[in-house]
Amino acid sequence: MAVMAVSSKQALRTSMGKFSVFNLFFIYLSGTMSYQRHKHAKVCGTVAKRKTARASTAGGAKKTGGAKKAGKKAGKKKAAPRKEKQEVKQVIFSALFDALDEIVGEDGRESILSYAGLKSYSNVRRPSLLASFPRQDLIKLSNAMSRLLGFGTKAILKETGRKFAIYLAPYGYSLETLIEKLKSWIDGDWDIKLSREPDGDIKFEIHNDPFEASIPGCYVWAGFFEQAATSSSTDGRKYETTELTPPTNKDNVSTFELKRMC
Amino acid sequence: MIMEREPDYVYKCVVVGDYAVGKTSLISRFIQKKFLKEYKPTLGVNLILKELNITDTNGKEILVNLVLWDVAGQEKYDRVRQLYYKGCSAAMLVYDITRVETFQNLEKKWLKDFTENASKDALYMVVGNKADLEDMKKVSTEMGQELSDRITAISFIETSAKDGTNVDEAFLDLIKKLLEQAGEYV
Repeated sequence: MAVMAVSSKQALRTSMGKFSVFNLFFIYLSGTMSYQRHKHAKVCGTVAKRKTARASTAGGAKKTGGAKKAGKKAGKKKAAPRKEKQEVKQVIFSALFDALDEIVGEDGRESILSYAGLKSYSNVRRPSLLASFPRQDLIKLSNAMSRLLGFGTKAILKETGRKFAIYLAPYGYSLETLIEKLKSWIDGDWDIKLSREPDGDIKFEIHNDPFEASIPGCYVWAGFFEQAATSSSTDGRKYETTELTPPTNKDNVSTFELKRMC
Repeated sequence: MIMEREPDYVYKCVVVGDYAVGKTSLISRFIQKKFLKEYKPTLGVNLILKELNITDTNGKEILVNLVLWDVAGQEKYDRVRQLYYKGCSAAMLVYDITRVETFQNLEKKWLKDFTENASKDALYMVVGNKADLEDMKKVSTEMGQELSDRITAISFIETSAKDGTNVDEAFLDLIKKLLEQAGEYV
């Protein structure tokens, strides 16, 4: 291409200057080449059009790229965050398995893992913060627990939640610390908000539950919060869940109201 | 797109009785159609979900999800076992026809435990297992029937998990009684 461009310019210059056989030959040569180029473009025309069409239908990525550039230029718009692989620290799984062992025994835990399709988790026992597993597996486990343990009663799931809190924080944490630790151990766009009433009662709100539990699964959380609040209580008083609002389709928030018992 | 059909009924059913009466073997025979030769004590509870299609008298198919709780018979699980009865629709009270004490414990321990912790309308049936060991039989069929009548169980049946005798019948009878209780004609 570069060679041809130079020769075309030369041809033009020479055509305007002295006329020689050599120049004539040069004009002829560049003309032929430009004709060939034009012919090639005609033949390739459909392909080029197709390529353009494909690029525009592939759309999303290209457009987003464009938007990104525009955003950078404007310095205001921010590109949507890329969805990363969400993981859960092993300590969460091991605490849940210890809780299940205590409530339904070793065979019960194995039955739940088998139902969830997570048999490979049988040997996950050490409360490690070094190893991590996909959050999707935690959701599968939670669903299996709901289906097998949650029918007809909330008591078993609630008791499992209590034990889960004990095994996750055996020496007790303040509620605020425990929530911070949970957030660092379970990836994802989720949150727990805690508000303390003047009379000592506590309200928890889970936004985008990392277990994705609805009723009856959210009773695991109810038991968990009861135990965590009781363990962190400075006067040794117990807490009980008095109200539980499961998440709705409108908002993915479940609310737990805990009353301090006398 | 394949749509998974929602079950018409979900029942939680516990299978209880002394250790080594054959509770796990009965369930294994019913679910997997095989007999477990080696005795391996259950640790806590085995949980099994079984989907069943039952046809009613009008030919309508009823989809039932049966959540079976195969509960450990050992005494060390006595404390936590009370939790297992919560939300139960039915119980299978199993004894070993070759061991009298397992029969005596049925009323004294297992029925008492169940009625104290399960809901009042929960059903229960009496099952005498190991019917293939006729020569070693210590609990007669009459004794089993008499107990079943006295405790107002829904039915009494003798089974053998080893050769499969009456195993399917026992479970299906329990489900039919549960469906009848729900107003279905099966």
